[in-house]
Amino acid sequence: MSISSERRAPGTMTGRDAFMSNIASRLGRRTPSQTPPERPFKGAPEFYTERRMTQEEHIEQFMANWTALSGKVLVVSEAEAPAAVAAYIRQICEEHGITRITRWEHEELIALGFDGPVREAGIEIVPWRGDGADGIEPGPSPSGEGGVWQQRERLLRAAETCRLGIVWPDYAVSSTSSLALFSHGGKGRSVSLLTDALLAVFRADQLVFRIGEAFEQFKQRYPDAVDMPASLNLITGPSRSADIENDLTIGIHGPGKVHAVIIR
Amino acid sequence: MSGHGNTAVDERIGSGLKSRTKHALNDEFLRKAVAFTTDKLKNGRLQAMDTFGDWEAWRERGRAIRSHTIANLDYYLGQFADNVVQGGGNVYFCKEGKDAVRTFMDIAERNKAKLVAKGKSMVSEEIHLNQELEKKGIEAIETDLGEYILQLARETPSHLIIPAIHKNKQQIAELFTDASGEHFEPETKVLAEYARKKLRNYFLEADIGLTGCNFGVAESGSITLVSNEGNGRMVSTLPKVHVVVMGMERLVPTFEDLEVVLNLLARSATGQKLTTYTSILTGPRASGDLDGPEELHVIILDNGRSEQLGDPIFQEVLNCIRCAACLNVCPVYRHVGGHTYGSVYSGPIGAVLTPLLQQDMKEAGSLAYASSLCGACYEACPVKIPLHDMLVHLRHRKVKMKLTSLPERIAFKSYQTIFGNIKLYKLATKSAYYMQKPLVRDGMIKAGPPPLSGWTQSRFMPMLPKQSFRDKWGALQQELASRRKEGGKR
Amino acid sequence: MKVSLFVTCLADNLYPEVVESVARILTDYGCEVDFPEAQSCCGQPAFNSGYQDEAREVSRQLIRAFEHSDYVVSPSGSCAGMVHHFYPYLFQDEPEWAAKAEALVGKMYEFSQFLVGVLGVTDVGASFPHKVTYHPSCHGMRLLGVKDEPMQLLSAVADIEYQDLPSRDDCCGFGGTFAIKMADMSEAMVCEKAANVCRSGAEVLVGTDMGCMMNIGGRLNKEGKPVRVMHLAQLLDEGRAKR
Repeated sequence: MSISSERRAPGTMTGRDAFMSNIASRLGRRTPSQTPPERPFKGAPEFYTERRMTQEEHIEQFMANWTALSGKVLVVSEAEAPAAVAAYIRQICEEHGITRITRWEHEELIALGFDGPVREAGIEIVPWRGDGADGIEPGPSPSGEGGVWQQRERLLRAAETCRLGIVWPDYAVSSTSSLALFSHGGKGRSVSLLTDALLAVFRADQLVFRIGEAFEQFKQRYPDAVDMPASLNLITGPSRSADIENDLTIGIHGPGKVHAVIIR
Repeated sequence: MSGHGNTAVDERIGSGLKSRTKHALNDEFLRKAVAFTTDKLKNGRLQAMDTFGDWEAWRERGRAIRSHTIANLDYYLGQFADNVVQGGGNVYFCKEGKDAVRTFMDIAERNKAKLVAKGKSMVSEEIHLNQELEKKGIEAIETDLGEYILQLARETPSHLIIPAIHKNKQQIAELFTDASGEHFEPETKVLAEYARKKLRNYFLEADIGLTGCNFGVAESGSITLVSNEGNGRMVSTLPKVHVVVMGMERLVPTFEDLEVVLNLLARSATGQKLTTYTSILTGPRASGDLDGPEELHVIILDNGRSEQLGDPIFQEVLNCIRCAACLNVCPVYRHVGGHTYGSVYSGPIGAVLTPLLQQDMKEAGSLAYASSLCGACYEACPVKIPLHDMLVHLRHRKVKMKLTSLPERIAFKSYQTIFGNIKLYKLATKSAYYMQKPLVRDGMIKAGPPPLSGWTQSRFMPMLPKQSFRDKWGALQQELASRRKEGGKR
Repeated sequence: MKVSLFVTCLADNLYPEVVESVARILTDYGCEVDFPEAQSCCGQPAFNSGYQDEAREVSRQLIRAFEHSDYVVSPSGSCAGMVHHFYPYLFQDEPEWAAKAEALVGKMYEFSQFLVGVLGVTDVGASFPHKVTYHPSCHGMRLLGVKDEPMQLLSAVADIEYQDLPSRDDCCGFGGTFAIKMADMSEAMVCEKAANVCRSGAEVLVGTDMGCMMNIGGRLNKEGKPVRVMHLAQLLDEGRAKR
């Protein structure tokens, strides 16, 4: 899955020379080094990177960690998946009185075919694509007509009024119960950020043990940094804060209710 | 009852240290809150270390990666900057805080910005950016909940990770009530809901999102932001312009290395396996993206950091990953909290970093005395910075720069003379026995003139016995000889 | 086995009985104990206050005093820690003295470290029927690596009722000149430590550093608390004499 062929134009660099010369001279070099330094090792210790798990162990680990963070998780078979996911979405919406949801414009999510059943239950769907908010009232702006928010894309404003976001992570990490989401096009960051609740659907074979493996895959897919997605998000449970007298609040800026469906 | 006001900024660091200490020690709520918070975070870390396993191996790896990066900072920073620019971001190298502030103001002006939404950034506080924005009439809102509370109270953070631990629910409710005109009960749920709605509006309306950078990844020019709340994601996704202010040392070479520091950071800071949100941002929005910033600006700040490069003792201080594990084990911090340090950085790391970055041994250098040198900080540091040794070396620097008092210098010169010569030593200790007599009550010294009064204000002291060990050695020798004759263990 | 006593300026002048206990126990386990009179102080008071040049000169005295010793044993983890951790640094620019410093480091031990690690003794045949709690020396633990030895020795004492000390590893607030220079901070720390000692229910507080003991004991005395404060060597010596 390659990203748009249009690369961003390079940006500007200011104040580099004096700054870097200073650093180099303090480190005992006449000019800033251009050669990659020798490294006897890189990254995590081998006893960690060499660990292997079976798929069942991955599923078990992910579930244990996710639920410990107050997340909910469902494991379904490939055959059950479309119906189960549609039912789950309807259940979540009913439980929390949700009438508008947003989802990634992602072939796997589309293939599950839940759009129909969800709309039938009277729930509006804002798919993350350019025309996704057509025919939908985007929602009010805090500072009214002249405000900054009013001038943002219709889609973004519509997504902001949705209370459930659905994504298909690129990878899921079992040791930390993290979802790895690479942004691009129909895989918008806002979908996993703006809503009260988050639902992630993925296949069991997308599970890896450690975040480093997700990074490895990321680098393999995009060996050239200029092609990298603008955002790689690792999401590990619900948004939280203990800033009010050490009292834990779940769900402050990001989704407070997190759900996962793992397809075996 | 705001308590701390702006004493942290108003008074000079060293000369205000004693009064801020007294103030903090008299604040019962603060002491309870600090002790509770640090215990909670420390225990979280200890548990996480246990379950993760092989913690020493991880620490050593963390140390090695960070030390390697700093020792080759010219290479990695250059690689990082090149990659940011190639990826469509703009890089500004700023030697001093005021350069960074000016750079930010230029960006704000170009964008006719009226509102800046800030993620948590210690560096932005280091350069006093908020004050400058206020002067120019640009509204800057702190979106980290703890920082938002402090902003309303017009106070400075008292802890690196949980900035407003010195505020209780009642005080927070009052702040929100004053700010909004609505009445709020001191209940967490209610207060959090208000903050959520209020800050949401700021996220949506902000012209610029400002964040720090937990780790830059040199091989790709990526910016890593971690947050539990999600505000870091908000301010780097919604506004059209994203400005990153980062300390020049906040780098790792590769994604492989990023895995190590992310694991160390989360576990050391709060005991979590990973912070809820870890965002690795590479460039502004890609074409085809329907959200994300149009512009990315990365301000790389020196502000005293390069002074530590090439220094065999202090270069390692740049390894710090800002986890605050040292704060959570420091017995001094535990009792006095963050404001006592009079600086953006508090606790053991603050006591070392502040005089070094500010290049001020006179005032800030006094922070080096705010430690019993117990070494708990070194033990807790996930990248093995020998903070306890650095404090001693800072004290040495103060002496070398002749910044210590004349009586003290004379005292230690006398110490050298007396303790360096056995005859004088024996004479001095004998006289001490006689000189103490006026002070002895019931076989103890309960009060004395300065500097002894520093001890006796809270403790008794034993009196020197007539016979020192030296005096008793003769008799002991004989006793030991007969013990040996009686043969072996009894 | 020839062992030289590094008595420390503190024990020499304030707690001679502690060193006497050390000497007795070492003698009973086959050591020929001597006391090189030329010793005074490890230099820590000056070094920790930033006066490295002054500390260096006093350190030379100590190095000279033990130049011909095979083993050097100290009742203080803090003072032995000073030698181990900072003497090589202090003399790094003087190759001849650097070598001497390294030599001293190689033969310098804290008392419990020596008893358990070198003499291989964990049970000294003592009986001490009292409620006892133990406070570890920060420098002993973190500079010298004395971790389990004191507890190993205490656990082997017959009839002892060991009480856990809450927040055991927290510093007591002594820190040498810190106690006087930052008197308020030190007071806060020693008050908490003393309160924890009382909370433990112990009648006796034992430790491996007389600096700590003087500090905590001094606070307990001021509070009028009837807790006896002693060095590990004293406890073991007394416990053996009873048997």
